[in-house]
Amino acid sequence: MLTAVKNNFKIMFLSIKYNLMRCMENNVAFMTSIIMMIFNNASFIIQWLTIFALKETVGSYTLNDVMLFWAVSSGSFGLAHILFNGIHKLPDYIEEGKLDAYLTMPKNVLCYVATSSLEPSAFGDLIYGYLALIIFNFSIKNILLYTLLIILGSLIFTSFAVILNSITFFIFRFSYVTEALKEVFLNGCLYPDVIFKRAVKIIFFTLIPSAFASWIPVHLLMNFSLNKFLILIIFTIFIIILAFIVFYRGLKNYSSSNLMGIRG
Amino acid sequence: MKKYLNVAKTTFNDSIQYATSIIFRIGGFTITMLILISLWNFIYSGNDNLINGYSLKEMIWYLLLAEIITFGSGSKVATNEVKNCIKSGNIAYQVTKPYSYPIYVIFKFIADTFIRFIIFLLVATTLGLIFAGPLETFNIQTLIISIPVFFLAVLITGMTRILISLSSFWVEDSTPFQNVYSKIILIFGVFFPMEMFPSIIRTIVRFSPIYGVSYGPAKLVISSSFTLFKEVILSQIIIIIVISILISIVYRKGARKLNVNGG
Amino acid sequence: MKAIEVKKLSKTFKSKTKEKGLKGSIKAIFKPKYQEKKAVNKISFEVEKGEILAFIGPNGAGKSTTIKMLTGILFPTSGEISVLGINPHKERKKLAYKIGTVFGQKEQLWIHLTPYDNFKFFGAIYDIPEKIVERRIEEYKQIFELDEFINTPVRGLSLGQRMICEIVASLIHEPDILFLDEPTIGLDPVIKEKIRVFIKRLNKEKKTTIFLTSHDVGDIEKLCKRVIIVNNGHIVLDDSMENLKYHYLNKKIVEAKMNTKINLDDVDGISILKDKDYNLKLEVDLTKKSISDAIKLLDPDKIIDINISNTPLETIISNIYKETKE
Repeated sequence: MLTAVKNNFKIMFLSIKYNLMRCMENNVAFMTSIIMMIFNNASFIIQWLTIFALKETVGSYTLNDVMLFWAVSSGSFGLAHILFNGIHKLPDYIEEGKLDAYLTMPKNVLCYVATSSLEPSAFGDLIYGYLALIIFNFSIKNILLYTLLIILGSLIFTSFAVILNSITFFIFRFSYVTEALKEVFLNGCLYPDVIFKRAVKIIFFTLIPSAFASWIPVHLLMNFSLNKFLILIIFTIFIIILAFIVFYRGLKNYSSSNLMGIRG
Repeated sequence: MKKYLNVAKTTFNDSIQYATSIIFRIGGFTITMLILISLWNFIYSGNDNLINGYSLKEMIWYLLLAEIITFGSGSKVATNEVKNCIKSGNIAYQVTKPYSYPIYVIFKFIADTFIRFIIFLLVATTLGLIFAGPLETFNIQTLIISIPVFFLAVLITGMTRILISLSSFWVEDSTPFQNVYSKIILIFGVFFPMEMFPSIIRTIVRFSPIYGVSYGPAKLVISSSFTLFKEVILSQIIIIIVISILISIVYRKGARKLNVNGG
Repeated sequence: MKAIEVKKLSKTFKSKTKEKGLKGSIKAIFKPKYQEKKAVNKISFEVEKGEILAFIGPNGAGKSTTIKMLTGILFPTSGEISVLGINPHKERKKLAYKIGTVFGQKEQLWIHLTPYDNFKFFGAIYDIPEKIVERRIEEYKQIFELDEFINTPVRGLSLGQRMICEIVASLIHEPDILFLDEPTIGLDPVIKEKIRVFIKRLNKEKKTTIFLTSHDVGDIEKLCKRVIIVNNGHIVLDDSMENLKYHYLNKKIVEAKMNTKINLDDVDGISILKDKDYNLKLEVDLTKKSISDAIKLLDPDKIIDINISNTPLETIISNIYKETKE
């Protein structure tokens, strides 16, 4: 059992390593996409500088606090797209029947699919996350805690994407909806919780769990509380388990009723 | 007969596909707008009624109107199509044809954008009426003077996109530059009217294309001012002349590079 | 224990049907109608260990569906499968260690890596110690003459070289059964021959059971001792290659060029396929007449040139397809 888990991790590690080697084949394009992504994210600092010139605080947040939302979100997103970008290709794999090859391997299908791809520009997001943290909220403690929190955040975002993308097992061409919902999730992470009305907040704590990927981590960085931290850990474990359940339920559907029956 | 039915079927499927993608783009637009409207609602709460001369209602309308120019003109004709045409080398055939390629793309862009723009205009108006309420100053005269201003704003957007795409003659991928342009317009034109910025930035915006592309048209609808109309139209015409000259210079240089390299 | 045992295996696909037009689309959302298609219909067969089996049939006959059920990708609708004593859809991973799969046009390799790195990756997938992987790579390198491209990234390889690498990658864990789905599709004759020789050698030296689907008659003729033909989800023939040939090869084709025109009529056992100018083509049913009967009929003095041949396997197979259609 333990060796099986270890061997699974070995394959995931190797896949990520090989993906990274592919990115580095074209160094210029790789660096350009990273730098462009950093600029892209940084341009939103102007948005917040302008807002804080109009109003001294947003809720109780200062500019430094708002930048924590950016640091956490872009760090989590970056990490998720570096480690588990394959999940976002799942609808293509399902619709084109590419999942077959993964199914003939003696490894965990979800883990293997997740690590099968890497988005180069995601390094820009990750680097920006650390930059934003260092510039606006530097402390050694923060960096360590931040690293832990974005790992949890990337797992939450990936699990959310697994659940959404697994719907493609049941409904063809669902990826349009998935893309839109991921966009909502991202926006929920990037803006501070105080600007949303109660009803919207409830949605971000339940159906679209941006609150767990960004709001709670930001609160923890501002003011650590063991209770909140435990809640976050429990939620992360919960959504990972849910993602596995939904994925394997979908995979059963792929294997039995089968969407590509016509293809023979 | 079967042949024609097949043609009809394919076209119908295409338009269904197109309709689906439009519906989801509208969904994305609505969500982005709702979040920004929440943001402004929050900024205005517990504040005076006006921020730099804008009421909350005016601010929301400004946001919606400025954003539809970006969203409504998000046609791939001026961006990816031009880029791919240059990258694939098909541009060499365009050079030999008895028409100007840039003008051809501009017309194609306008045709492609027309319906899309109307759809986004309707969505934005609906959102505005629900979340901000009708603008009291708006009347028939405002409507009439807005039409040419919005048309020219979309035209400028398309032309700028084409100009950026032409950089594909020299750089590997023009998409990152398109993204930078989008971001500049978003932050300095859509998120905030220029009155919200410190004076230096305000001056820069006033004399940049942002004035003609987003600030001018949006502000015109809110203020219904005929003086503003004249100013905006004048700057738009100047921008168009400048961009036209730039496009023709860049295109000619690019085409010459093509000839030197033998395609 | 048999390598593969299949009993009354069936697979039914459901697909949504939709009436025409927008109205139909809306109807389909609320009240979907399903159409059932039996891709595989109660097939039973067995494969002995060490056998090379050709599993063939026209497109859409149910070949791929069967392979997918045997490898655990698809669940059967009904029936029983046992591959090496394992039920594929219940213990997919356990089975995966013991079988190898090559799906003709679906690539499993990392194209930016060299074959060598790919093989090592597959070694890791099957939890094989590094030393053993290296030893096996060395072995395959000899057999397939991989030297010239083992350190070139896969994207720089020809189609044939890639296919060889796919096969080697699927053999790195030395499976007991190798499933090959269209392994020689689109390859040139030299590479085809190389692959066939290797498969034969693999079967002989390592006693690997080979389960092969192919449209290439050459593959089947040169490799397989036994053929299963499926059509419309049914097994229409399950026999040894020898029997297949014997059964269908009791007919010979005689083609002759004559110096004068002669007029012939069909006789019992000899039928005229073609009679044009000085050229004649006869089919001789050897159960009724002999070749010499046919030659006598032609009048040997008038023959300029003669050619006696078997019915090509390709024709035999396509005749079986046609006979069993619906």
